[in-house]
Amino acid sequence: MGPISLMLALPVVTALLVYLLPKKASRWIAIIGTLATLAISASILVNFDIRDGSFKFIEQYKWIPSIGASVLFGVDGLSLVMVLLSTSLFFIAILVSGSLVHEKLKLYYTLFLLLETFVLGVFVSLDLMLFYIFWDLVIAAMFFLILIWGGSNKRYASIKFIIYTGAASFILLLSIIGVYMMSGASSFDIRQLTSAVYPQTFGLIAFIGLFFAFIVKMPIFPFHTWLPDAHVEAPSPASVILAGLLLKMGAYGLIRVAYSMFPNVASSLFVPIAALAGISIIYGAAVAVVQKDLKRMIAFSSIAHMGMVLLGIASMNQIALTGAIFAMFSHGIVSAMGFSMAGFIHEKIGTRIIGLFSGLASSAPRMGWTLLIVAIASFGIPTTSAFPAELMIVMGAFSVYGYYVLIPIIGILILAGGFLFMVQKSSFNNPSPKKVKDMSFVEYLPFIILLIMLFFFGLYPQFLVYFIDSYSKVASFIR
Amino acid sequence: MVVEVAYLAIVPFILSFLVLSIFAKRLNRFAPFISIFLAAVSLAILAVSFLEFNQTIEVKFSWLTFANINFTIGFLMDKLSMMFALLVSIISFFVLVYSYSYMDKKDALSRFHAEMSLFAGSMLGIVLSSNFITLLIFWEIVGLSSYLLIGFWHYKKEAARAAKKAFVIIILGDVFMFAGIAFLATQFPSLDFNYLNSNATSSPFLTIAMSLILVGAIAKSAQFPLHVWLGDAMEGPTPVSTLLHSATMVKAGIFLVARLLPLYSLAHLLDPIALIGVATAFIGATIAFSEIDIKRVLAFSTVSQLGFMMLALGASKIGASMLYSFTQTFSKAAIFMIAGIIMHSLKEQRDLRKIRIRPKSMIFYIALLGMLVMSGLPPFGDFFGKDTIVGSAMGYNTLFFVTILFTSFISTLYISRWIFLPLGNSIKLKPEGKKKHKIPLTMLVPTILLLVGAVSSGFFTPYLFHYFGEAEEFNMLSIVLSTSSVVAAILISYAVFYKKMIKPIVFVRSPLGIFHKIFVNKYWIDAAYDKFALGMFNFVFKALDYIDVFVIDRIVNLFNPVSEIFADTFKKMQSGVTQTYVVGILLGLLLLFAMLNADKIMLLLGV
Repeated sequence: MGPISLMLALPVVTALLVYLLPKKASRWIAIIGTLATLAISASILVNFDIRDGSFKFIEQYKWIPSIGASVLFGVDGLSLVMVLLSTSLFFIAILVSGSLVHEKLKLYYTLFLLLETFVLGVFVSLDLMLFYIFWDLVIAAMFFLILIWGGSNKRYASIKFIIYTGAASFILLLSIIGVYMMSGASSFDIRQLTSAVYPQTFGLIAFIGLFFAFIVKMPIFPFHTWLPDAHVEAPSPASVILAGLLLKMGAYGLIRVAYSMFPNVASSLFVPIAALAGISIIYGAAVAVVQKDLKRMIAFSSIAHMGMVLLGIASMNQIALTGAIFAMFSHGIVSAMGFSMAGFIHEKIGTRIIGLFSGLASSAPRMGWTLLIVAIASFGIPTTSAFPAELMIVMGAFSVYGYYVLIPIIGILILAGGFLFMVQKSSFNNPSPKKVKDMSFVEYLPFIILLIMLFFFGLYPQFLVYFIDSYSKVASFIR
Repeated sequence: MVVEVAYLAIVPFILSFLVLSIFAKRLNRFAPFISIFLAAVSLAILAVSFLEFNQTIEVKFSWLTFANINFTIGFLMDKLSMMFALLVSIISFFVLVYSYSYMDKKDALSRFHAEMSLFAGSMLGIVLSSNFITLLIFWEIVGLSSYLLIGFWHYKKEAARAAKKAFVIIILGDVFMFAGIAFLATQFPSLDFNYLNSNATSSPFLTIAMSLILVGAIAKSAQFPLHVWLGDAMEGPTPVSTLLHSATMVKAGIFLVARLLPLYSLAHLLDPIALIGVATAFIGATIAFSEIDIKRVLAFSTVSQLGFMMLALGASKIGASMLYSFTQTFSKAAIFMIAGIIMHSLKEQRDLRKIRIRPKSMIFYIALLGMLVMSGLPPFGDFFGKDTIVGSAMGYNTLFFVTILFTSFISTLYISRWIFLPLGNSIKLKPEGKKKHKIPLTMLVPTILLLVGAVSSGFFTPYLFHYFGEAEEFNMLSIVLSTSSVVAAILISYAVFYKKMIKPIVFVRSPLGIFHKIFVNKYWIDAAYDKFALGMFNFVFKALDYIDVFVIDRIVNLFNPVSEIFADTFKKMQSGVTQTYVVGILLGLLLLFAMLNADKIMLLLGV
């Protein structure tokens, strides 16, 4: 058993313990379990050799030999960064859950821990069938998290979520089977499928299928409407995972599967894809600006940010791709902060509606000032991790799209204005007369971790770029 | 050699910011002492290195390296940066001392001093940076900290609004500048200023990229048409205004253009820069002339003065521009402190018509001296600064020269009005509170020292020109013209606003009143932004939001019936009848068999 399977098994074992041991211990077991998982992922990071771009820590077990599907794990620079993000965010989400989730704790933590394994499974699977299975399990687990612990309109949101993303994953399954059949390879090994040669027409169809399946998850305009509803209803820790990791699964799939397997098709479609990205950025930003619900606002801004990621991927060059992956990581941190903060605001004040609470910076400094940092990180002020990401994407995209890049940049501007207005209303202005209790140090702890990450990767982007670049310099679709 | 590590002068400020913001509550009482002490450390480092300075020093640290990207964090100690850095640290130190008495003990002192330190430290970062990446990082932090400081009294509605307005415009500039820098980074192997200044070549690309960067400089330095934030920005505490209007923030744009002057010349953007400068100077001066708020007059006068500097840069007179920048730093800091003292004694009263200065009081003499310095009378500093610019405009463009000469005349008018109006107030206004307000020493001493600086800064003229390697250019004609206009303006102002020989209202009612209307409404630029631009965006965004919910989402939900029909059809399969299931299983097996032998079947079908 290698480090990866250990990492995947650990949350499952922890989930089992949570289920078996008394309810009182659930939270602490979950914290220890996710922390241990984080530690394993860190040890993988430390032992990772960045010199060549191949997959490391490969593990293979027999599964369905007759069709060539096997349990095949491995990480490269791309997976590794996503794994690190996942283990960190799950640890954070579990910490946050302690303050924000109050009922059916045993079931909650069990489900949450299983979700961790599923998400990690998506990022480390080198077998496309296995990838797909983890992909669907993630959707199922998230469905239950929204359905059971969600807000007032949880039934509508969760069912919309599962039907919408389920439909997309059905297309994904069809595409995967198609790819498998046409590749001539006798296995679902992603490496083999990537190096196979596909007929041209099939390539176009399969790429569009895969592309659709993945951008629904990202989400990209016009397939984004499940996201705001799901976010508003989901419990905040689930929102953290939803925005921080589930959206990244879409982008990850796009890079790992769609673009890697059909670089020529992707390259011939580089204009429409960028247009889609551009629309997503402007549209997401513009709609975010006028939202009344804080969570809905952050949800729409996520659409804009993922549009930025898509722009980076669509540029198909090393700098933009590195930027896109960096942006995925950075957005994971920022959205985790944003959604957790929205959760705490709801918990402490009883509303998330922008304008119904104000003056947090003086009445509840921890909340108010963190909200400001969320805002400035959302539009990429330097020293936050969003800045190097944006810089790389814009640079890389400029060398492909030229001055058209100014259009998405306008989107950043809109986002900046919107977040500024939000922060002005919520953190500043006159404090509302109702007394607000600030977060305690223990409650604030996850934010301290996130803040450290935000500024560490913003001030020292090289650390992450070492790993990302070890992938992006050998990615098959780099022109 | 301290000069080799002069860039470390940023560290005390950043340290002060971190310590005071993390331990805000516990250190609230000691905040002024911590920040003043650390500012003094920074000042000491810079003062010593300024004296030691004899050659350009560049220091670099690797920041981000991969592919063909090679970004560094770099600092450049050269003539330009050393001058600016020293000014920043001197003014910051004085302002922090001044704010000790100015700020109320009930204010969040930790926060104030933390933000002031961040502001000053990041401004030092701007002037000391040697490449665009470093610059951009500090540039945006300056913007952020200015936002926090302008809105320091965030419970005041006006302050909150002003802070927001300032930051939105600053970010507008920053985002375009970010784009310009990212574009440049794709075309040049290095983003070092020195490398670019000597290796770039003229091209449409360079013009576009540099224009984008110019937008950032225009926004920061409050140049037309992005000057609207500076007038409102004085809603912040007066020490903030002092720092913001003299050495930091607004000078960042001027500094950047000065730093990149060779690049701007290659990009063929010097003429537009001069045009922006002259327009800003005129607009700022005329608005200042019609303001009745003690700080707003000064705020728009800053706008106007920055226009002067921009004009000089556009005329490639870097020496003249830097000279005015140097003298104006002192005079503006001093006059803002004077305004602060007046307001402080009157409980933040800002309306010039409701302020009365007692003749022959201490503050009267100080304010009078401040006015004379600002007006540009010889031999005070601003005379040299302003007149070299007027002189350089003469050789550059006659129309610009006439405009700037007239602007200089208006400048003297508004600044003398600024003091004659409260002096001549006939209404019996008694200062609130104590009968004789004593000026706290920590406010008085920095003010007087800066005033001394402003009075004597002119003597550095030859030194400064020598410093920038330019010959002093004094045009006798322009000096005579401008000095006589200054004297005339003071006399007119004395007659109208102090002696009230002609009531100003006469002008307003005359056909000339149309100008008054234009000036008072600030050329309707603010209104256009507020009503038109914001309103339009708001409408479009709301419309998009509506479309999202009622069109795009509805279309998705149209698929509901589809899935219902699907479900209705297939639920019949769950009949519970074993035979149906068996058929299903068999069909499935058949399909599986077909799939596994797809190649053979295809062969059979001849595909």
